[in-house]
Amino acid sequence: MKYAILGNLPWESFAYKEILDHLPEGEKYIFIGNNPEHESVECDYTFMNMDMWEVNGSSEYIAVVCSPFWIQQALGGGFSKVLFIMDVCPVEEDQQTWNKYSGLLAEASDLVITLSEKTYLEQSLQRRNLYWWDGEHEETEENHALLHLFVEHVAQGNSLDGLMRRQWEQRIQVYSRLHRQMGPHETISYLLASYWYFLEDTGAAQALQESFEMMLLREHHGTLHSHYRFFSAIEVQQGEIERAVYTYAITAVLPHEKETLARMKRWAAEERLELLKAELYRVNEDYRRAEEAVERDDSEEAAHFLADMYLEQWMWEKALNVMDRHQLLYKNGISREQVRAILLWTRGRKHEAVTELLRASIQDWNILMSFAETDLLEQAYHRLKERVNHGSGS
Amino acid sequence: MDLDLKKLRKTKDNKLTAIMQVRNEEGRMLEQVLKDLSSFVDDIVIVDDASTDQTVKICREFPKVAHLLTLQKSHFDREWLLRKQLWELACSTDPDWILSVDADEIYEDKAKAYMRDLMDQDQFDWVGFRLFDFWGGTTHFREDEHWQIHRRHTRTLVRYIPGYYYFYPKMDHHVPRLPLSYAALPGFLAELRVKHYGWAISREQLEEKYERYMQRDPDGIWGDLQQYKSILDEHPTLVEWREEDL
Amino acid sequence: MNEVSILTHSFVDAYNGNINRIYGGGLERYLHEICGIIADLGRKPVIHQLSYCGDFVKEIGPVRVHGYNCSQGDSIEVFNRMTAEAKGPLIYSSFIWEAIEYKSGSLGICHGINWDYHAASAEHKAEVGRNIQQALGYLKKIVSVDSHFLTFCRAVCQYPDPDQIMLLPNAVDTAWFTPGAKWRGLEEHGDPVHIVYPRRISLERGIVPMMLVADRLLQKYPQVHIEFAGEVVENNLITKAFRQWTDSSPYQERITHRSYTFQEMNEAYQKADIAVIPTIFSEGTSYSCLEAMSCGLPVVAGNVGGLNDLIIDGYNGFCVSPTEEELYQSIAVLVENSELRHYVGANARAVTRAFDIRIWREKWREILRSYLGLEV
Repeated sequence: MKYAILGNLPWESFAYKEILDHLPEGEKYIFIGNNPEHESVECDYTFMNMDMWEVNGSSEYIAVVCSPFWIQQALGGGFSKVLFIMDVCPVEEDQQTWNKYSGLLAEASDLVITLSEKTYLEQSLQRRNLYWWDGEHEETEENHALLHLFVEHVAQGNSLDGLMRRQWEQRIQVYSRLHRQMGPHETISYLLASYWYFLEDTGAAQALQESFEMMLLREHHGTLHSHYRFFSAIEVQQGEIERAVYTYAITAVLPHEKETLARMKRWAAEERLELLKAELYRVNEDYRRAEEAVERDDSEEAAHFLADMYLEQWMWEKALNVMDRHQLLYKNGISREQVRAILLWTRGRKHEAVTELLRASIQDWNILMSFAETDLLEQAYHRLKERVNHGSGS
Repeated sequence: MDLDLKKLRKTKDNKLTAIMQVRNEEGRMLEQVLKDLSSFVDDIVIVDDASTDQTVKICREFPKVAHLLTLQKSHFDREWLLRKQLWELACSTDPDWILSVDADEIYEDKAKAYMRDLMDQDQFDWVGFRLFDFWGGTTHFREDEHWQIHRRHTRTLVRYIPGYYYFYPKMDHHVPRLPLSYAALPGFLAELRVKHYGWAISREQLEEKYERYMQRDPDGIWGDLQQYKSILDEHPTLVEWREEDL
Repeated sequence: MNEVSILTHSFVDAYNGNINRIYGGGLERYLHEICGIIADLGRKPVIHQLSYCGDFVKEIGPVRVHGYNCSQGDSIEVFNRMTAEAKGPLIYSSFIWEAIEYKSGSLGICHGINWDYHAASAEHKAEVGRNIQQALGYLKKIVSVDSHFLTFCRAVCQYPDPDQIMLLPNAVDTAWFTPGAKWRGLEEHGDPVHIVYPRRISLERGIVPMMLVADRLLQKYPQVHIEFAGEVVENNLITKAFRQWTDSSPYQERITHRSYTFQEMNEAYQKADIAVIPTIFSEGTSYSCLEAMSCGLPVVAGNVGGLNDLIIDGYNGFCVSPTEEELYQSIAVLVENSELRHYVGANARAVTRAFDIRIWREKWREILRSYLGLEV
């Protein structure tokens, strides 16, 4: 294997060295950034600037991408595989821009490596290409060893479903042990409920109930949305649709939630069960299952539902597919051309993207707003390059 | 698929069911309270905790007392179980809204006037009122270090949601009147008042009550010893009660 | 008392606080000329303008300039204030589309129609019509730089004196803007063909279709070079689009962007073979068009506003709908055909003699003498 690391900091400050150590053995490692002053230990690594990087031959390399602002280079650089290390937004960067390109990059990557378990839980509801690196706890051997397998599978082009299940099972073992040791605890029970839910295991409901009770006893707020609504997801999963709707109805207190409920009632009355299930999953942020539920429904409502969800969750390639297939010119205030242009831009095909936007803007000047966005990405990219190249000596 | 969601959060025709637990209330305020309740609720549900006096008979005199459960053995030291039984009895009557009342509480006129409006909406599922501890009589309430229940709200009026998960934890003290899971649902804190007359008694009776508390809970496990002691205060701070216009 | 006051929204650069220099736009240059004529007639020209950098008073050559502090929302109020404070006969040189309060019997100038974007609201346009009708009730005479405003008034408003609006197109100094050395003789096929876009980089000036057309021209014709000779406004959305377009273009080495001062502008024309002025809306009699023609360039222009007054399609230029396809076709024809460029360019130069600045100055002298009640 050959690895090209698109870092987020100069080598001295680079925080993911341990992750690199657990990748399958590589014959070549290139770190995009300046040479460190004391090139002692890491002699396996070659250092070069982005400008020096030759695109020819990149198809032999697996890219390890450490910031979403490398997106153009990562997706347009001709790498054989892309591994994306998904971290939180640094303080100096804009959260919205970071989230957007994180989402777009994650969707197009072969493997997403998350660093926080909280993110891992959210992402598990969306991705089929996800791994969590445990940098937080004490005993991490099992977890770190799993990375090796993940990357091997990626390199061979195999599905990661089995490995994802294995990681969830690992987490269940850890938390079950803690649960036995400590007794009921709102967070541990919630985590167990989540992992059981991912595995479609019936143990989820009871764990959730326990967590809910603990939260009430400790007088935590917001449990209607954070906990009670989750019951409805479990109910849909177990095939109890009517019950799930009722459970959701109890939690539907805000105006937009009542609108969603009205929509669900309509789907129920019209026997559009796929759409109903999809809505139920969606309000529980289980985008993967929402997508699965409605995939086979080729109706216009399903198309609108999917396009809306895909756009919101940065699954823009899929969004564009749906928009093209169903001739949806606009969705959520974004035009098809804007979606296409951003996808082109993030794959390094800037000129095509610009042309797409300019031509579309003749009908609608608002489309020019996309240039403000691409400008933000360019600025973020330049800051990233500065940061990475700012090694000792230059 | 026929979803039966019509009854969830009705905005009109809500039935109001009062629920109460009683134990040896003869000679106290039970009659007055039941009469007052009868003027604005639709139903009254009562659990009698093995009274040894005429309490049950008094209850039966009021036609709105639709359900009355008499326990043979007292749940005196398991308050949570008593509350739970009362709750379950109430649920079995297919209620819309439930008002948890103690046998010495009277709702002020303004609260009674607003009661329907509080129920006939779909924005919140419980209401908190301000309870005032009247002291030594029916003209003043107490307000000092250990006696400030009126500074916060007490949840007494709740919407019954069938199928919601009702959680009654087995607690020894500070037992909530109503299932804890209402805390998760949206609620409304009303500036409406409830007059609690449990302490609106003579000095002699206050001392008796103090003795009873100290006997039952000498180490202050269930309640606060300082608060128990303050029952005997010579000069509690009292504030005059003023009725409000509607 | 010999002041003559001109009311305008801009003269010295009070957008950016550079009140020592006159802003380089067409309106400002126009007023600079008028002030010169007023001074020649023995009167003191005073400009009253809006300011975004505080009140000020400044002497610039023979002109005194009063700046009135203004913020986004209250420009009309400030205009009315200027009317109250200005002395002598007034000349209103701006805002004719707004509901301002005129001093009756004054002179007005309309520098072109700016409310002619095809997709803009009809209600707004009707309101503009009402405001102009109102202006016609107060202004003794309005000088219009193009025939479009004249037609607008005739078709939308009602007024008794047909001469109330007088057509006086903008002018160009044909002695300064002259053809460059390469204009002589025929070029050989394969020599570079330079196209100039001599406008500000903005939406109404047609920068978007220009970029799309440029892409196609640069791709098809390796001999084509394109120069954008205009200013940008920093941090503006369209500026970002433009920069990203140039940065990502595979033909970067054949694209240049430069801003010229007014004194240097003739160089830009003299280096070029074709001028493109693809205005989409809001154009009076374009100075750029006159200058380009005066330098012997064939002009491809949008058929908008005063450009229609200057170009006869196929004779001294091409006047087309400012859309990508039409613009591309006309420019391509000129790129491929150097004889055509010469024929059209020569006609263009000839036509501009009718718009020479000396003629314009004389006509303005007459207008002012009449307005100010001076002896001939």
